[in-house]
Amino acid sequence: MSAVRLPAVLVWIVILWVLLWGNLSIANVVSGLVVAVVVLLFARTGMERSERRHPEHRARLSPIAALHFLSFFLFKLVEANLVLAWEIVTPRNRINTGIVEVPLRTESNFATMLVADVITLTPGSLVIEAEGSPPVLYVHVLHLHDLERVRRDLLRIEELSVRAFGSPAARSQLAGSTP
Amino acid sequence: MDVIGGIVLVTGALFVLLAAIGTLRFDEVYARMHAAAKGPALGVLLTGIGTALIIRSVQSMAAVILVIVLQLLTGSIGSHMLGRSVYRAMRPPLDGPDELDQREHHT
Repeated sequence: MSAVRLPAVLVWIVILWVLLWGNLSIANVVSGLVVAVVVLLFARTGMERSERRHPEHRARLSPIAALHFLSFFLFKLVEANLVLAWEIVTPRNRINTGIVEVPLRTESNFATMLVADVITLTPGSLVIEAEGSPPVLYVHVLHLHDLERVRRDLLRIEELSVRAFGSPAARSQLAGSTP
Repeated sequence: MDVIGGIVLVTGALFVLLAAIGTLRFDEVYARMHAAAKGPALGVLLTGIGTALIIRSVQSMAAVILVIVLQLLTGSIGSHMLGRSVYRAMRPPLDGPDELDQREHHT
């Protein structure tokens, strides 16, 4: 982590801490500082290692794409719950489970985490294994009726998250290989 | 505003209830996990928004956003770890293809 970003992360953790306690007092700020330093001592090494290995993969936020990602995610979340609610309240069983392999195109850790998170939170899909570089996700699907369509839907999530939070390098990787 | 907040809050609670029923009704580990992982996500989102609509202060909004983001991020990590251990420990039966298993046969 660069010298500029470390204090920024420190301040951010203190702000989170104060927010969690709900009021701004000296005791809160001081205890927040202690917590932030401890957290950074433990978490820094991992972040630094991944940045050193892929310096070109530093995440960069693009606001409009992030908004697109967020609205897509919220839509999917509601859809996931409605599909599941329907499955729960109706006696008919449409469940057809299976595990789908989803090879990602991005190598960014952050983008992979986002994709896995969103997949786990959307309609009947659950990441059960992730490995390799570029990562391959293995996703358990509850309603598996069209394998290729499921794969395409999941790759769409990757595309949106890289557009929103990926580094320029990740974006060009995405553009270089269209599915 | 209070009324809208109340409606949103109850809707959120309803989704959590449905998730609980689903967890009981489904008869397979993964199906149950699908129910258990998703209902609460939207449930927390809606209860959070409902609460913020009723309390209407900057402080509560900040806390609510924090709760929602952390819940969504950490909740799915939990279900991922659980799903992974289930696969490794007991290989639950699937109706369709298992591409993770196919890969292991290739290597």
